[in-house]
Amino acid sequence: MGDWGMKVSRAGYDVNTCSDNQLLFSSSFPNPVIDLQGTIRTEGAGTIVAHNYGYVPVYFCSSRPDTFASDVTYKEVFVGTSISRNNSGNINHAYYIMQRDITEVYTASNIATTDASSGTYSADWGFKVSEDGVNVGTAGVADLVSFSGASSAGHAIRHQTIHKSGTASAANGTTTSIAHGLGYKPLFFAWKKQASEYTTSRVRYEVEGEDVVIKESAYCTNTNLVIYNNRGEDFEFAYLIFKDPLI
Amino acid sequence: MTDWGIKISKPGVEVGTASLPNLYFTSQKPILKTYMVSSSTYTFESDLDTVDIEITHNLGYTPMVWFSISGPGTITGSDTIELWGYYYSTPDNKAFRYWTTDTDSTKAYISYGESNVSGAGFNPTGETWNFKTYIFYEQGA
Repeated sequence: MGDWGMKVSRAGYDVNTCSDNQLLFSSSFPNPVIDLQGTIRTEGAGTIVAHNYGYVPVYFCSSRPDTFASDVTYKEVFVGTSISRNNSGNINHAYYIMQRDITEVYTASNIATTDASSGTYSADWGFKVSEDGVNVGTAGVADLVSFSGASSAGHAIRHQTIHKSGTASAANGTTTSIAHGLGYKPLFFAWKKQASEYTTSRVRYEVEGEDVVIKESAYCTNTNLVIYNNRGEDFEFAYLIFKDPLI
Repeated sequence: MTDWGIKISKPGVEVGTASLPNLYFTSQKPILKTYMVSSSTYTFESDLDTVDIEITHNLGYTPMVWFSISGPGTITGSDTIELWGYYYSTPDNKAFRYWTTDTDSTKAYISYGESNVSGAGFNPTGETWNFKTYIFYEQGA
């Protein structure tokens, strides 16, 4: 099927010719649809929330310890049959779970990626859908399940668009590259598999004697998502790359 | 109202009966919504700099924030972005450096620190770092 669905460009761009990133919405690409969300305070290790999907889903979890005023979204949170934590202390969590298998293999077409500029936004633009029972004409942002256009602060409002997802193996002592084909550095997530669970990949270091040694890292270049593995053992990982450019 | 809004299925899947994993979009479920994307740059003028970068959002609650950095000192050079990687070793591997974020109901904050392990510390004078901060409508912790 060559041409179907719906798309909304940013204000000032021709929706027929603009680049993928200049679309506020496109039905050609999957979106991160949130199935479960909530907030909870946990005391010590244990379950944050169960999902019962029968597979490991994509998740985002923001966690803030009671005693540490920082948005430490990279804290050790794992997802398997549930989202859980294995560290001590009292932590407040905000979790978002997509009903999307974290291992799903997908590659979006690149309709146009040469122009990563963002352009400007108008105050009234695009479409919006309110929550059931709420008047869409007067609904506040918190009462909208979906919309594209501009926020009251004049900033872009858009859905993140999924460009590529899948899994790969990271051999010890190597870097593993996943080509994304975008030509710019995209927003991404990577999750390292530990036993049957996944946890967010980030720079992890250890102090060995008098040295700081980087053990693993995930980063993007203009051509690849790269996983660096210096952990002393191979591991599997899953990744999710968005269309949005980073810096 | 049991049947309202818009839904779009994957190509080849009947939209009327598609399960949630087979939908690219459904207005019956919320989608992660970007409120603002902010780019910042910081150049160290001396090794005594106190870095406090503030991004004002004024949402009135603490939102979920994703933060990325790009600069020298990564394990692979300067042309990289590490979404969650705030910790780096110094070139001599004797200390680690870190960027941290904080968020409240009006602002997101980026700050810098360094912790010496066994060397004489590190002087970042002249280094330029770039930041991109994604602030979402969805609530953070």
